[in-house]
Amino acid sequence: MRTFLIRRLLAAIPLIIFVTFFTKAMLVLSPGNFLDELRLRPNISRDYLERMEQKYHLDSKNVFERYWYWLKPAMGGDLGDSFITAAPVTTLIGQRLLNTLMLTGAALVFSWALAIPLGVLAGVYRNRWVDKLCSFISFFGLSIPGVFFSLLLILFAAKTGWFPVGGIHDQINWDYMNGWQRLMDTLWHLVLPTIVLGTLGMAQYMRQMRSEMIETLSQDYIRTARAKGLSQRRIIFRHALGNAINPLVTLFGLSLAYLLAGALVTEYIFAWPGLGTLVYEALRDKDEPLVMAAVTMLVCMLVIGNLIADLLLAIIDPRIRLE
Amino acid sequence: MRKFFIVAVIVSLMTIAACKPGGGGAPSGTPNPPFAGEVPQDAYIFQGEPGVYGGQLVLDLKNDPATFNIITANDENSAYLLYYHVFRWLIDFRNGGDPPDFDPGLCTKWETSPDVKQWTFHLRRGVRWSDGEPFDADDVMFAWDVMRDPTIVNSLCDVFKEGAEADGKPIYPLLEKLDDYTVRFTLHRPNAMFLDQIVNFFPIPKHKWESAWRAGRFNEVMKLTANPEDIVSLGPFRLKEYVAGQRIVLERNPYFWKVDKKGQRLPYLDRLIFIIAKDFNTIQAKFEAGEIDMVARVRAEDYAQIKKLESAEIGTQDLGVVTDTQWIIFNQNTSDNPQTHKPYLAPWKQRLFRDVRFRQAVSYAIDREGLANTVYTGRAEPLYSFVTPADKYWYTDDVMKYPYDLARARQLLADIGLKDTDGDGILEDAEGHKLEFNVYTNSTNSQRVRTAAFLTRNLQDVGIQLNTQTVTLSAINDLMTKFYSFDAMVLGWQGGVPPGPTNSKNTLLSSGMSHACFPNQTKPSTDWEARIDQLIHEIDAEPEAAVRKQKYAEVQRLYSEQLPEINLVVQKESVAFKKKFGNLLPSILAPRVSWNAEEIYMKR
Repeated sequence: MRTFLIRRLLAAIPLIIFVTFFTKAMLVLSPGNFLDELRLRPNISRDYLERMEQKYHLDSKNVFERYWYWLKPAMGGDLGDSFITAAPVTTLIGQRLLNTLMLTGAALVFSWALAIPLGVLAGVYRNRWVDKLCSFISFFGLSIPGVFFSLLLILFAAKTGWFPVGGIHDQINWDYMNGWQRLMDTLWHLVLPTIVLGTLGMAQYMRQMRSEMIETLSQDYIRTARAKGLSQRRIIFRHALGNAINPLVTLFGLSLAYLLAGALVTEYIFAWPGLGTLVYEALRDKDEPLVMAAVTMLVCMLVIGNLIADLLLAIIDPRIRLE
Repeated sequence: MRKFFIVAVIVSLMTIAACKPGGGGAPSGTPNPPFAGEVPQDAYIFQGEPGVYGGQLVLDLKNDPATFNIITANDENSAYLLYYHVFRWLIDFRNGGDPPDFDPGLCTKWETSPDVKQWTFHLRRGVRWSDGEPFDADDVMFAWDVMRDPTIVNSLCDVFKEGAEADGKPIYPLLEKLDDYTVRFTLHRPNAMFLDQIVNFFPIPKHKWESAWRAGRFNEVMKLTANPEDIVSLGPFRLKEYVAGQRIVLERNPYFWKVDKKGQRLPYLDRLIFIIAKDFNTIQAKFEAGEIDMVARVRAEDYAQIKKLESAEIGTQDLGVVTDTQWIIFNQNTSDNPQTHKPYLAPWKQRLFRDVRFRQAVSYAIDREGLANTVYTGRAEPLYSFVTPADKYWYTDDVMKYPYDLARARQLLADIGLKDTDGDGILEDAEGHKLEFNVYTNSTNSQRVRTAAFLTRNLQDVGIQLNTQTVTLSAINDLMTKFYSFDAMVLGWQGGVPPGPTNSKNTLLSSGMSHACFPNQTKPSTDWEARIDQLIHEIDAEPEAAVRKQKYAEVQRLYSEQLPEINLVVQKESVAFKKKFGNLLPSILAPRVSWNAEEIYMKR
């Protein structure tokens, strides 16, 4: 087990280097840089732009050289300062990390907590009205575009007043609330974006669970169990579920990897102060240190997520042995 | 088990929904935080309607600011937040004044010598910084040193540059401290519009930042991660709190130096809160829900909906046209690529685009009214030169106009010798080149993309084929300033504050970086460009305001005749606000509603 872990973590290093190098190459070779917004303003002078370019080594087009400018301090733990705000990228990411985790974590719980039971129901009562209802829900979730769904819910919130219109907490009265009120307020703000984010995942996993369940229930050993006289409930929970859930465990591990990938569209529309918008804007404005830090973080999360998926699978399925 | 789970979810959702916090109430009448320090000797007396203390104003901000360092800030969100509200210039500019004009701010008065080379400013006595320390000429001298320091990369100093020495070092005016409350600028070249430049001069506290500057650390101060107490400023509000991605809270500056006619100190409001929301639909929904108190920029497509919200509590005001322009240009670059020694633009295209009759024909072929009514849903007006009617002082209507006239356009094109010889609807020149061109615009601006499509349709009617290419802003930049490899481009300029010749030099001068059709020329390539260059220099040196206006009018006329940019339309804007605020003077210049934040108050 220990060698397995060490081997996997070591294998992550060349992966990180490859991905970050590729990212840097794209940043360097694509046209323009973060000063472009400014260039189009008539009262910004050429001198200023040239001075800024020199300051950040943007004049060189040599990918290796630019990559080394980033790699050298990064190996010592210094991921640099954002070009645009001159604040350390770790601070910028750190400020929003918790917010995104909160949202994606809640969406994860939402989607899995609904997908498994509904998927089992749909699989067991195949072709009955329960199945048809669950299929309707999952097709709805799969087909509605995220943007549209977010806007719809914002409209709903604005018209009914039952939920807040975006944001992470009440910005005006936050200072006057006590701890309990703050917790409730944040949860209240969390409901709508969680529904948007979780719906797609829920739909996918529910379909998956349903088909796995159907396949498992058609196996011979289930028929044997029924013949032996075991109750339906015992069959489902004791025998079928454990086997059906196998592929979903892998999916679960992978969805952990996407926890920090952020939920750009949802965060944007719900004004949720998370990583998604930070990284998107860094990419759009070519704020290189921030992009590199975000990419590094995402690759690490992917590696860890995959690792957890494999470990979980090994725990659940006794046939698998880790070497 | 399942039932319990479902019930638990429903119950918790209901509990959560029940906890709605209350809203903001009426003003308390007493300032909180209270004022500190004595009223300055030379306090500015606000002549408008006195208000009551208390309450807060909630505004929206499109994105996080990049920094709180007023000298190095150059992005529009930092400017929107810091200018007017937190930091102040040496003199003020009243955006919403009638007309918008310079106003004594930190200076009580100023004088200029008859040759407009010496400018003396008398500072207001008794003014204190937001941390209580006194403000005087030393802070002005310190700011001047910091701005001119080449290691502190900022755009504020550029407008003061008067030229360069042989080794490339820039030449700045001389600033002298005459006494503790008087400073004098001595310019090397006469400039009658020096006040336009002073509205870029932010004094900064010497007592706070001198040691950091001398240690070479000025670029590190007042960053986003700084302690709010370190942002020492002279504006009506000071920074209280910044939460990334969420909000910025400004609280009253207890030492602010204005009083009203009743002797009450300004500002009336206790707090100014900026909520960061990027999507306009969200901002609008928050306004409807009562969370935000004003919508400072109502887009064309949302105008109708915002208008429907008008009620006893909510008001809207149509501000008229903006100072931003929208145009299409044709590449007029005659220079050669230094590496390939071939011209950037094919010679036949150069001949065609540089023929003023071609540009005028295109201008006649554009249905500006149609463009305003479709792409801008009626919230725009035709524009024929680079100054819009929003600039009440400099605008002249006496420019060449191009009413939609297809016959005239076709005639002009025929005069150049363009004919459709093969009957495919597209004209060819004498050498047989088809008039098929690429037109670039930036993909992120949906109005521009639709404008390009509209223009394509217009020009099809006179036999010119345009192929639209939407690219990122970075690519547009490169095309316009590095590669020069475009035929046409649809873009626009953002108006500067204050509007006028000073902030338009980069586009008007043939040597300018933003003279988009042919930038960075070493000497003007046409007579009209030479004439415009000459007029701009004359305007700078001209002491008589009336003569300056007349010359700028001539520039506008020349511009409309020669069409370096074919201006299309200018947009209209409106604001929406809660009527419970008094002393609102919305202006077409940023920051539109809150520029006079110290005068705004919440009615009882």
